[in-house]
Order: sequence, then C-alpha cells, then structure tokens
Amino acid sequence: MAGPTPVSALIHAATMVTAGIYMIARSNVMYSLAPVSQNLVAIIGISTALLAATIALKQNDIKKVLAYSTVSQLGLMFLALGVGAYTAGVFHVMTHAFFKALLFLGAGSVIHAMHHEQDIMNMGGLRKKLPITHLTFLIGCLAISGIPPFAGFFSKDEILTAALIKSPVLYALGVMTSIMTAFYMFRLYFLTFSGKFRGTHKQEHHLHESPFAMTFPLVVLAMLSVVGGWVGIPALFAEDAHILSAFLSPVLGTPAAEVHHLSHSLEWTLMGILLSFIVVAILFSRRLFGSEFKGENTTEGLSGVLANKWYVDEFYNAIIVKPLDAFAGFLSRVVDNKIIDGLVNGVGKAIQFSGRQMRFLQSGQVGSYILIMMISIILFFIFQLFWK
Amino acid sequence: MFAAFDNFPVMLIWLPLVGGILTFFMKSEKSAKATALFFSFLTLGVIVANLFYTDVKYQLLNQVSYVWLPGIGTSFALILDGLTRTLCLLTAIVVPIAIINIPSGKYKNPNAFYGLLMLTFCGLMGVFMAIDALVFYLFWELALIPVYFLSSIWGGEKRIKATFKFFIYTFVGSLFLLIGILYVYLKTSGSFSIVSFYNATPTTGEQAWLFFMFLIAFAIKMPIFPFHTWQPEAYEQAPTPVTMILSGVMVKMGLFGLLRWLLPMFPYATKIYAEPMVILIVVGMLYASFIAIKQDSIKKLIAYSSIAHIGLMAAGAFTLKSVAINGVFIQMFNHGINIVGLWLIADLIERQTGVSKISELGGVAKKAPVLSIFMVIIAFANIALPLTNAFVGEFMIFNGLYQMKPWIAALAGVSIVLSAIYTLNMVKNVFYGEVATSVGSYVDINKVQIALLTVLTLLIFIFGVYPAPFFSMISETVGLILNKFVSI
Repeated sequence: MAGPTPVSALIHAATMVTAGIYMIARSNVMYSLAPVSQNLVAIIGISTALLAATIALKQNDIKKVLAYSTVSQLGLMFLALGVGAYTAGVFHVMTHAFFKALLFLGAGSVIHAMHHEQDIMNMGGLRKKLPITHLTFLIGCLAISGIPPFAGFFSKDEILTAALIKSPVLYALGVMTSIMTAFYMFRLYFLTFSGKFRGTHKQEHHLHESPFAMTFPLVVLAMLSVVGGWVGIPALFAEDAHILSAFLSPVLGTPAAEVHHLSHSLEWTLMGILLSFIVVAILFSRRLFGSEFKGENTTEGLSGVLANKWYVDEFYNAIIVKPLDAFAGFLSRVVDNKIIDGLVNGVGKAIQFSGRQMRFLQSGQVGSYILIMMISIILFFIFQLFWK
Repeated sequence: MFAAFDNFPVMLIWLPLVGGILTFFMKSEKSAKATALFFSFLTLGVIVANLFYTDVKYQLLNQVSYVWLPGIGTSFALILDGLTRTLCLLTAIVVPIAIINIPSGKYKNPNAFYGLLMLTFCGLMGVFMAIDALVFYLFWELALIPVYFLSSIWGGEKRIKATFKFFIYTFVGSLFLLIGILYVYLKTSGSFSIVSFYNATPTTGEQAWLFFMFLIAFAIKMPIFPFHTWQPEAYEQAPTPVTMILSGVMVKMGLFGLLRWLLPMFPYATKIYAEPMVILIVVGMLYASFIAIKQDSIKKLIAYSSIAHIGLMAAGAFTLKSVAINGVFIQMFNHGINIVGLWLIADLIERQTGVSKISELGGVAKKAPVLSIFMVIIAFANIALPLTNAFVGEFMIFNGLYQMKPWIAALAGVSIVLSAIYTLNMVKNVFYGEVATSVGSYVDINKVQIALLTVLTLLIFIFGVYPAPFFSMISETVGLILNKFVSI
C-alpha cells in the first residue's frame, strides 16, 4: 500500500494475491483429503473478508481503501478454496486482477492530478477534470461490486453459490461482505469524483487529466474488467459456457457446484435479492457521500474502531513486537552481559584472586614458613590418627 | 626439508610467508602494500590454478609429506582436497580484499601491519591443509599470534582488554585441543598423521570425553553459544582488515576442525552427542539472533549475526546428513563472502562519518546510492534470500535439520525471520529515513571500492544461481567424512 502506485497495482493485482491462492489451488488434492484444514481455510477466508471490509468502510486514504478491499477480496477467494470451489477461487483471482489493477492505476492518476494528495476528504468533483480516469474508475467500482455484466459479478456469484452449497451461514456472511464492498467502493467513488472540490486552491488549479501513457493502461484494463468475466458464464445462463472451468479441469477437477445442482429458480431468486441489496448499498452510499456530502467524518464509537483498523496493528504490537523487543533486551543486557560474560570474566577474576591469596604463602619470612609447616604436620597427624 | 617447490600445498604456505617477511623490510607504506598485495594475488592465482588440478592423477601435486621430526612420528604433511580448497580459496579472496580496502596512512608502521597480515594468511593456509595433528596444532597457534599483535597494537580504544580476552580465551581452548591430540597420539602406533588418528579408535568411554576436549577448542574458535562473549568486542576493537580475516576466515577454523578432525575421529561419540549438540546450537543461534536485534553498534550487530549463522553451520555439521554437510561446505565459503561485504560497508561508513552507531546514522542512501545498492544486495544475502549464495547453503542445512527432527528445523527457521528483522532494520535505519547530521557531507564510494563490492556481489550471485561445480569439487571429501558413520 505504501509503495509507489504502479508497484501497489502489481502487488495487489498479481503477486500478493496469486501466491497464496495458487499454492492452495495447486495443492487442491491435499486439501480435499483434509476436510478440517479446508474448513479452517473457509473460516479464515470469510473472517478476513468481513474484517477487511469493515475496515475499508472508514478509511480516508484512497490507496488504503483499495488495499483493504484487496484483503477483503482475498478473503473471498480463500472462502472459495475452503468450500472446495477451486475454479471459482482462481476465476476471482483473474477478474480481481483486472479491476484491482485498474483501480490502483486510476488512484495513481488521481494522486498525480492532486499533487500527491491521497486523502479523499480533500478531493471531490474530479469527474469533469479527469474524464477518462473517472469513467474507467467507475467501471472498476462496478466490477468489484459485482454488477452484471462486469467481470466481478461472475466470479463472485460462483464463489457465493459454492458457499451456499456448503453452508448457508458462509453464504450469508459472503453476501454481507459483498454489500459492504459495494458500499465502500462507491463511497470512495463519490467522495473522489462527485460533489464539490474540497482541496486547496493550488491543487484545484493544478488539476488535469493524466497523459496518454497513464490513461491508455486504464482503458485497456477497463475493457478487461468488462469482458473478463465472460470466460466463466454460469450454467444458469448458458450450458457449457464456462470456458475457464473446462480449461482448469485437468488440474482442479470438476467444480462441486456443477455436481450439486441448486434448482434454477432458487439461484435466480438469490441472485435477484443479492443484486437488489447491492444496488441499495450503492444508492445509500450516494445519498451519504454524493453531491450533498458536507465533509463530516465521525470517528466516535464503532467508527473510531474501524478507522483504527480494529486496532489490529496495535494488538500485534502489544503481543508480539513489544514482548520480543523486551525479551531481546533482557537477553542482551542481563544474560549475555551479566551472566555469561560475567561467568567468563569471573573465571579470570577467580584466578587472579587466588593468585593474590597464594602470594601470602610465599612471603619470604622463615617464621611463617615454619608456622605453616607445623600446622601441616599437625593436620597430617590428626588425619593419620582419626582416619579409619 | 622443502627441497621441492613444485606442488601446490607448499607454494600456498611459502608464498604468504615469504611475502610477509619481505613486507617487513619495506620502507614505505606503498611498497609494503604492493608487496603484500603481489604475494596475496600470487597465492590466489595458485589456488585458482589448483581448481583445474583436482583429478586423482594429480595427487602428487596436491598431497605432500616431508620428513620433519621422525623421532616422534610427525611429518610435514599437507593436502589439498575439497574442504581445503573451499577454505583456502576463501582465504585467498578475503585477504587481498582486506588489504586493498586499507586506506593509506591509517595504520602506523605499515610494513609491520601488512607483514603480520601476510603471516596470518600463511598460518590459516597451514591450518586448512595440515593432515598431521602436530602440524595442524602448530599452524592453529601460528595463525593466532599475528592476530594478537595486529589487534592489540592497531586496534580501537578498548583494544588491550578485548584482545587479551580473545587471546586467553582461544588459548585455553587450544590447550584442551593439545591435550586431546596427545591422548589420541598415545593410542596410535606413535604417529601424528591424520590416518593413524582416524584409525586410533579410542574406546567409547574415552571418545566421550575426548570429543569434548576437541569440541571446546573448536567451539571457542567458531564461536558458538555460550563461548561467544570474546567475539563482539574483539570484532569491534580489531582493525577492520583483521576483523574481516577473523570473521570471514578464522572462525571457519572451528568448523573446519569439526569436519576434518572431530567428526571422523570420534564417530561413536558424535553419534551419541549429535542431537543434543544440534539442539544446544540451535538455541544458541536464536539467542544470538535476539541479541543482534538490540544492538546499536553496526559492528556488534554483524558480530552477533555471524554467531547465529556460524551456529547454523555447526548444527548442520552435527546432523551427519549428506545434504547438510554439503550445505555446510558451501555455506562456509558464502558466509565468508557475505560477512566481508558487511564489514567492508560498515568500514566505509565509519571511515567517512566517524560513527558506527545505528542511532546516529540515517539517510546514507540519499548521499551514496551506489553504496546502498551493494548494501541491500549483501543484506539480502545475509538473510539468505533465494538467488543469493547463502540461500543455497542454508536451505541445504535446513533440509538436513528437517531430516533429523522436523521441530528442530522449525526452531532454527525462526532465526531466518530474526535475521530479516535485524538486517533490514539496520538497512532501514542507516540507509533510509532522514539524513542524519553525521552523514550530511557523505561522498559516494570510489572506483576501487565499487570494484571490490562488485567482486563480492558477483560471487554472491554466481554461488546463488549455479553452485553445481562447487558441489562436484567437494563431493569426495563429504563422502569420506560420512563414510565413518556408515557402519555405526
């Protein structure tokens, strides 16, 4: 997140997400044989998705919102792997790559135009000044929110269907995540592109659309964010149209969702309900953050907890970083300096000390030699007498 | 005694020795440095040439034995095999780098300084090549003596105390070694040769304590926990070229001792003590890593990091697994390269700023981008990231530890995380962030320094990407060590 924007785009779209998902998808044989581990993956996945989505609701840094949305989407992918829908997980990796790279590069374009400003509270109304960035960013938001026919819809739908087959609870939590995703993504969109400009005069004067070299990738990625999902059209719409599933089946096998068919009417109903929830979330977001947004930003109660990312960083700091640091300090100051080095130096000191004491035996005075001799002889006799 | 000068081991002893003696008679610093450099490059040339003469048919060139003291059954016997080549090559690379890096006018009486460096060089070569216990002991001490003078005359403020401790400590260790050698000698048919030592086979009861006699000497030299307290101070106080040789090569004397003498000589005892030793060493590694996190002095940080890395190698040697021993061999070389790189950079920073405390540095990267690039590469090698040389060795050692006991490997794996913490923290605080006042007028490195660091970086990458030739060089020696454990 803190890296340069193109680097963030690459990390969030490709390297970071692919590594873990790929590993599990590749080892799908092992996971399918270990249901406990697989359930754990699903639970971790859905908790990650929910936690990160709630955090993203209250972030004001344009890149932080995107970063937490990546974490949240990553959670959904893990959910897919955990419920055995490996194809769906990999599918979401792919579609997510398109729209997340698009969103990050779009954010880069915005930051560039805003003179390195990243706080969305200081943006607003950029729609007119940055038309291409605006349009492509909107497509990215629609895609990640799961609006058909954009890419995210297909992959997310597949994940949620697979979750439903496994357990209704996972499905419900997944739906909640999706609704939150739509809400915070459009919060980001409205705060950035609609309403009045809230930055400084200088920034407003500086505003401009980015050069072709920056907008061209946006356009390409926007197109992919539209059509990218069409390689995985569910059986609900058309039989045997899931090209990706056929492509991956040698490695991942046939997805469970194709084995356990839900009734079509149920699928249509659920899809309809989900979509209406998402649209409501977007409209709600528009009402709060659209053109009537006044710039209020509460950080009381739960909002504060969310803005502070559930204090996860602080928690880790307190239970890992600080104790580790204190432990290292203890080892360094006490154990190494005092005990071990003290022991080593102590051996040296003991030898010096005994040397000093022995010196008295060699005083050069005949009298003391005779005294020592007498004492020794007496001790010797006592020893002889009382031994045995 | 040295009638023939036509074989490699003898040349490797004589060249540094003659060079060192000649250097003493040089009048100016320039000629002293030139002589030392000339002879160290000549030695490097010889050992590199030797890499092409590894075949059995060249045995007469690689193994020699001269009559020395036949009355007590010792002969001046030297060999060049896989283990020896590894360490001699490392020594011959480290010494010229250490010499080139010395700025002119830094040390007074430069002829003596360079001369003593060359004598250390000679002593190290002898230790690594000796296959006669008495010759080994002789060179073991011979390597120590010039270092004592170098550190106590040209060292830092607290040099006397640090050097005294270092000398006494290692000397006590050497005494145990001597007693051990004498005891085993009495078990043989009156010969100090390594073959008769291997065949002496003391009883299991005798092996049990002889094992520790030798181990103490080697453990102090490496050093491994809890015999390490001489090291950080000695490294900090010794002049940089000496520190480079100490940490790059001299600590390998301990590991070398394990592999060449201890393990094959006492296979029964080794087998019994292997696992407790590994556990102890791994705990010591973690201990050193934790302490490294809290160090504010760059030099002490490197010293503790070295203790941790050496510990890993010692643990690898005690696993008695082929993959781990191979890993130890290559890692001995790699660690030498990496740590010399770290000292080089620490020295370059200290030379300009006069500061070696992490808390007083910062933002060097803004002033010296070239230096920082090298630093980051070497730091990555210190953490053992893939593509760097240390990854190859440490991965193999971890593999061996895993074969021994998975949980030991897991415990040892924590040290990788810790090494990332302290190394990256150091890089972050010294090279990035705000420019500290001490580095305000920092000038980037010059061409000579770039050349030195390039050589090290190239070695890091070559051994990280294609170590195969190295393994074919050492395979025979590794096989010989492990053969001792086949029947038990």
